[in-house]
Amino acid sequence: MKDISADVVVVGGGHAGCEAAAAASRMGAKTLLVTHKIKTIGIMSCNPSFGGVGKGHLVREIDALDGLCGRICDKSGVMFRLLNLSKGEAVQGIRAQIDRSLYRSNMLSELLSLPNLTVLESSVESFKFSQSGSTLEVSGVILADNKIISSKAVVVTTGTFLNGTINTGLEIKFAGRLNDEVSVSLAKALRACGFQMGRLRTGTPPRLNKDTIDFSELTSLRGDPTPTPFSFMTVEIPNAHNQLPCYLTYTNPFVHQIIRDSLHLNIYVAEEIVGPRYCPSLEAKVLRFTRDRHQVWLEPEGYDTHVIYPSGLSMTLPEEYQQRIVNSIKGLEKCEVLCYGYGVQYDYVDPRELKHTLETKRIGGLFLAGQINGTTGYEEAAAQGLVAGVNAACRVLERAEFVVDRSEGYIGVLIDDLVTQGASEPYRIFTSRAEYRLSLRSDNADQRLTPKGIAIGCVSSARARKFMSFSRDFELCKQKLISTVKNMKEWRSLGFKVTECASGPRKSAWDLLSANFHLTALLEKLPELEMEGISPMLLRTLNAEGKYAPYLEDQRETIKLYKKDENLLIPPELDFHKLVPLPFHFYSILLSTLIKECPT
Amino acid sequence: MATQAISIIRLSGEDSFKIINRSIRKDLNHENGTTLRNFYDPKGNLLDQVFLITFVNPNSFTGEDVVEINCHGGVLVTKRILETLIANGARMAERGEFSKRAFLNQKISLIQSQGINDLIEAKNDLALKISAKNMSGKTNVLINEVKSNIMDVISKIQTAIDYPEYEETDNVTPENIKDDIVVLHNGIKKIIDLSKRASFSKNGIKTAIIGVPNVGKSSLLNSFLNEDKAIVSNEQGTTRDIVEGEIAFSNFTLSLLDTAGIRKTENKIEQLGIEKSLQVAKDADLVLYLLDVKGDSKLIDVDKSKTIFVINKVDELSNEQRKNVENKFKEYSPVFVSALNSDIDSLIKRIEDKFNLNEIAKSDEAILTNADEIAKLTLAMSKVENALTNISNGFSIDLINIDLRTAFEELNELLGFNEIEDEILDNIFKKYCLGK
Repeated sequence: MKDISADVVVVGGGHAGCEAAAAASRMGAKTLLVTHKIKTIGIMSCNPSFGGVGKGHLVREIDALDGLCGRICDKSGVMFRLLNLSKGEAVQGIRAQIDRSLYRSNMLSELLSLPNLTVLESSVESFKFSQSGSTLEVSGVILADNKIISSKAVVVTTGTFLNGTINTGLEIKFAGRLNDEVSVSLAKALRACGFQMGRLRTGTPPRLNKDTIDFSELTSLRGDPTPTPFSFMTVEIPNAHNQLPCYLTYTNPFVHQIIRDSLHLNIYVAEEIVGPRYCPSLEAKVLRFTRDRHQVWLEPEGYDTHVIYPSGLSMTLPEEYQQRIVNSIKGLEKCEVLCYGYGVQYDYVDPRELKHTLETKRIGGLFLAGQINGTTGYEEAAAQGLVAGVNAACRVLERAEFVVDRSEGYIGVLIDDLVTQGASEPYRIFTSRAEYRLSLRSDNADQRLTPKGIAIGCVSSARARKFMSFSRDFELCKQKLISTVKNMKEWRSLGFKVTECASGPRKSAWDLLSANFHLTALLEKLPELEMEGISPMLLRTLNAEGKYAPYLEDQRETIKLYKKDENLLIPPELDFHKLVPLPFHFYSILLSTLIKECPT
Repeated sequence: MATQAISIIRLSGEDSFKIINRSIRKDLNHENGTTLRNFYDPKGNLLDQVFLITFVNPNSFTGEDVVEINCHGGVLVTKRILETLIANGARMAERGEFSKRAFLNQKISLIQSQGINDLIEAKNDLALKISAKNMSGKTNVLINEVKSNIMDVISKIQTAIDYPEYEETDNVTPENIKDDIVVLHNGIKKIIDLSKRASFSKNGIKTAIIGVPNVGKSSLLNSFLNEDKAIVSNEQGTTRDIVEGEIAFSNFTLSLLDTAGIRKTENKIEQLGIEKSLQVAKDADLVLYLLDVKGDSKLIDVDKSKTIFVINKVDELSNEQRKNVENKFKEYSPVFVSALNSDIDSLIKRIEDKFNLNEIAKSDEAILTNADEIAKLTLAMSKVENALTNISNGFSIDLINIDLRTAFEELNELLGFNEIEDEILDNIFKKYCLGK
């Protein structure tokens, strides 16, 4: 192979890498995805599920920007649930159990079908730089065989592979994932750039043989009879009528005793490296909380596999102890462990090294996305991949930057938190991280983000058309509801027990939604609206927008105020030490968010 | 500046040691301590022998390096030392700047810094007591308790939202958290009620004294003030202008508004005075209505809830007369005083009872004295009320959560903190065992 060139090189084929490569190629940039092994592209290294609350919002937003994971999940899911049905539209999220091998093959064929994208099996060892004025810019990557690929933008998405070590019991070995080689020289190359780096850890549970589990005494959890798809484009979920169940079992005091008795055999627990509060190991849970039991969900890994993923059993004990723990749990008495749980430690780059575009402040054209930035989770990685991919293409194609604001999406919350606060532990999204969560719903992710995507050029024309027509219908229906006005007596005679309120004695059908009457009930009583037969998606969005309307109005005001502060530019020549008095810790925050000088 | 036994000059900031070292012969060690040194002006002339107390950050009031210079208290020597320090790079602190720095460096909260100000300004013992409590951080602790209660409810809701299948928060529904929210609401309401009443101790109770001419209003006022500020004479209608005076009792301060006598009159100037008096009574927090023992029992219309009826000149009444008078005005349960003999204790007691000031003096509850603080807490309470209304109207928990969080933010603002997300997440992961 002779030296080649690409507009955008993406390093790594995990969830961040796939989205980054696909986004850059959708934008029209000539893109090259370099990965250690083509057969592990899109692999789900840990839990066999996607979505959830917050994470499900992210998948919807990725989809609204024409990203891949939502559509691939719809194709590969084996069990779908809409979570938080009773807790309100703003916090509802979809979660799906995914067939690992289907996901991988669907992802690969999707990537291979993209016009501007080439996939290369190789290992990136370091970068090429060029000096542009006073700034250093990336100009390409160097492969293991010393081949050079020149490129104006590079997106690094190496997950847990940077100086990755995995451990079970007292044993530690170099690996980014079980049986996968680690990126040592790339970690060195990043350090040489002068990036602040740290070390994080995570873990994964043992895998169990389904045929040796006694499910008869366990509670089962089934998918929704009519599953809600992740993607705004999905018409039908192929496995809707063929869903697999999950099962619930629990740990017990006997299990907890085994853990306490074997702490001396467990490096992971002893070490000080910051662990994730958000997905703690079983050991951490037992040590931190005095409880008689912890939940363990037995999750299917797909149709053509007998592997079961026991969510809640992440541990790093020596193998024989893992076996004993598994066999001490109800339903798993005779269970065979197919492979043991292990802990992973890896290097990450302090995300405060990044701009909101995920480009590094030190080196022009170098973008980082995914676990390398200190996050955990497929969805968090995919979201960053998409933003980095779009911006890498923007840089090459000389388009404006693409930044999602905190008030526009969970993607914005995620990235803003990372680049301003850093990550002292693996970062995971929660609805509680979002200030404007009544407007950041999963039902309106397309309303929030697809127009932005269309403007920057990362949304296909098919999606754009579908979106436009949905938006037209939405406005039409909303106007009908607003113009249907009745007095209190008339509403009461229709069965709506409205009470007097500030808006006066006459109320529109739209007002009734904010008094917590459901749109379905209104449509039933008001045939003159001629809205029967509207899609479930439109119904949900109309109902939610109406229901939260007064609060959304308040939020818009708050957002205006926050934007005023947010858009305040700090002149780079400002000497913070002269701003007397400022609290001590403000100086370091202000200094660390400033663009740092480039290394020479 | 006046001549005192000693003057204390406080230097605060990162250059404190550098600046003082320019005026003494041997540099101070950068450590906490006390030293006696000669102090020289920029030309090297000896100015004074000073006692220096050093504080190294963060262990000082402001959280910065601090040097306190105890010098002799003469006006000129103090002035020269100040000038020397300024010549060596210091500047005069702005009003309240030390407290401001202490707040910004998280040494004290907003409530504490307000407490310091109140302490300095305190006009009576109750105000002193409340401000000392606020300054010491005790009130902070109490407000923090309310805050942590809200945080617990929010954490419960958010855990239920973010971990829908977690067994401990399985049953978190609006109905199930309603009781918690009612408790929250009552807690906040109690602080507001007490604070509103206690604010009289700080700001004074605006008090109007009204009554027909010559009933003894001015002499009552005078016995309060113990000085002849208002003119007292037996001729009707001598007091036309409203005289203000302020007097501190042990638990409260009265801001006294004197009023012209109220009666039918042809005199235009006096007519104006009467109208003004009625207006004053309307604006007052407390009306002291002096009854005329000789007049009839039909009175002008006043807001009885804020009025104490007083019968003056009790010294001029025989026992029998007094009995008749008591009977005549029974419905007003008046207080008997003799302003001329300064016998007004029973009235003071009645005022204390009316404003529950003794109860407040004994109370261990949080009491806020600043209108802005009370407004923040009131807003927090209205949000909690919204949450309760929304629960009654069957709204989902995501919406209930929004109002609780706004209330939480208000409390944080009151305390001067603003990192809300981290705080709630920390609480969630402390309380609940979550994860895969």
